[in-house]
Amino acid sequence: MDNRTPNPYEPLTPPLADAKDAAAVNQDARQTTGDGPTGDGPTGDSPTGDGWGEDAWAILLGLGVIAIALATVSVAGDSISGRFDQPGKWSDWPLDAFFGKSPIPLWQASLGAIVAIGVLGIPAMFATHRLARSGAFWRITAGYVAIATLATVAFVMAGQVVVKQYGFEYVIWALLLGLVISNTIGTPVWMRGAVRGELFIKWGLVLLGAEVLLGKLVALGVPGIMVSWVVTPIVLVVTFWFGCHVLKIRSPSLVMVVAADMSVCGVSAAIATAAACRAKKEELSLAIGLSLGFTAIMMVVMPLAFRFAGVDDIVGGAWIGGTIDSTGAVAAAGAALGDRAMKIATTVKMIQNVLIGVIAFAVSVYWAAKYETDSDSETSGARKTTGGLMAEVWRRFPKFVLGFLAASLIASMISWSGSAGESLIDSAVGDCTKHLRNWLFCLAFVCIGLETNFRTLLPALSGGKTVVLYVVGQSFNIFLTGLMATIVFGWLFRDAITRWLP
Amino acid sequence: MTDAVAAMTESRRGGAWRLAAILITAIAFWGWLFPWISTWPATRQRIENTERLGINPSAIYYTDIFRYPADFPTADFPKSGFHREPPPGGPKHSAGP
Repeated sequence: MDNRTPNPYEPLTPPLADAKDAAAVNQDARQTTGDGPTGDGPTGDSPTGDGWGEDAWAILLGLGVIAIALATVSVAGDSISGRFDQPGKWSDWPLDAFFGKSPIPLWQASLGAIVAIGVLGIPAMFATHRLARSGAFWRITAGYVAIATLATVAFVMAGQVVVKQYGFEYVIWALLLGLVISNTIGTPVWMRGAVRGELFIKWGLVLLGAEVLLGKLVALGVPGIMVSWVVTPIVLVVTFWFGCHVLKIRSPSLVMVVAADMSVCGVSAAIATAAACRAKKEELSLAIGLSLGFTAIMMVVMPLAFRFAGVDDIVGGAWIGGTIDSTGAVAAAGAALGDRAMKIATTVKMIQNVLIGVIAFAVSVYWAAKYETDSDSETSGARKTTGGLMAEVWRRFPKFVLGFLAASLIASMISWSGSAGESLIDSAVGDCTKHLRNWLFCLAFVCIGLETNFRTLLPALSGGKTVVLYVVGQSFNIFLTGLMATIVFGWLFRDAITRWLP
Repeated sequence: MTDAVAAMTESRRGGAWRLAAILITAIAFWGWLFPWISTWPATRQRIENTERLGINPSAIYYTDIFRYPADFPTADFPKSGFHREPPPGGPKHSAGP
């Protein structure tokens, strides 16, 4: 008997499907995601049962894209610039999002990204399709086109200047678009072959690895490290303990995703941690919704409160950088306190961002060792007799994390090799992989929305305990970061910082 | 059985109506309300400030920030003991608007 937490990518049961449709839909969903009666969980699943499956494809595709981007930039210089992008900012007329000041119109660059992901991703989706039936390839292709269209609409919605101003990223609109469709008319059966949120997330996370440059750490200085690396793990662990033992929230993965989301760097940390601890899609959706809602409030309120309370810009900048979830919001809130505060806030946030890899790796190991093996009663007996704990941990370990770490190490080593290496990474990431990563996350959240029933979101709220968890954790984060920022930025390193930023 | 089919058809029709209502609301928000709010002086000033600083408030990750402070890679604190030369021409993402 399998007592593990329910599969996040459980078969689809749209509210409006009749019994016959529902049976076909569920059959199709099991075939699509590789989960079935013998399904092994949302990550590390494989139709072939080798424990790699989508993870191997995510690593292959992610590292492949990074290699191609690096090779292209090395050979052809900046010719890749502007080839991939997403719809941009607009104020009055939505179609302005497809035309910008860039030399290549944004509609072409967006189409370039969609085609690139499709060309690489559709074969991967087809290969990991459990039962390849006739016509499956074309159904996957048609589904991908529809999902990419929804992702484009999400980018356009996020690009409106007012929406953008308050930090409501494309992920929330992608999620809502999917939710609206799945909870009104139901996700059409023909789209289901391409509803592969997990593949898109893992692929995007491997690409994100190339943006986590370990070299930034040593360049950014000790004070930021002291604030980010001391406070963040403490807040993460305390919030996790509080959620599990005081609030007694039943799902530890939900608690972990909210804790990482709130203590590390918002949406990207939530995505990485959710994949590492195999959180349910509803839990990830909820954590991101909470984060974006509170970020919009904090980015306006914190600078005002600091001005009112007379907190100086050095301490205020560090405080903002360590507490507000989203990187862009940190920059905006810091700028509201002044240029120096913005620099310090963004510095602290960048150092915190580097933690994403360490946290994701630690969580994946902890989860594989504690929750996954504990709950698998069929294998635990064999594990005790054979002492194969490490083998069990490895079997349960979300392998894509290795791709994330490999991408980070490769990019860091190239960046560290000198100024040419740094320029190479900057171009490959800035012109190519980060745009593809944005598209992949957007596609992933459309898929998550298409797979989610509103009714399944209610249990994730745990009767409001999730909101309490976020508020308590964030309050503790604000207190501890403020204390540390005052000690480090306001006292220990104040003179040095004043010399650096007069 | 006939009742069940009729209920299902009714439910589908209800779903289509709900979708249409949501679409119309979204079009009203993005087509009229948000563009109107963007003309408010306070909003316009806030938008202009972040544009002037090259900040994308909705950036999901630091590489999404159009501009981060020009001296980031050399942001070395004297007591840290580390120093790093800037790349030629400054950091890639440091170009202002």
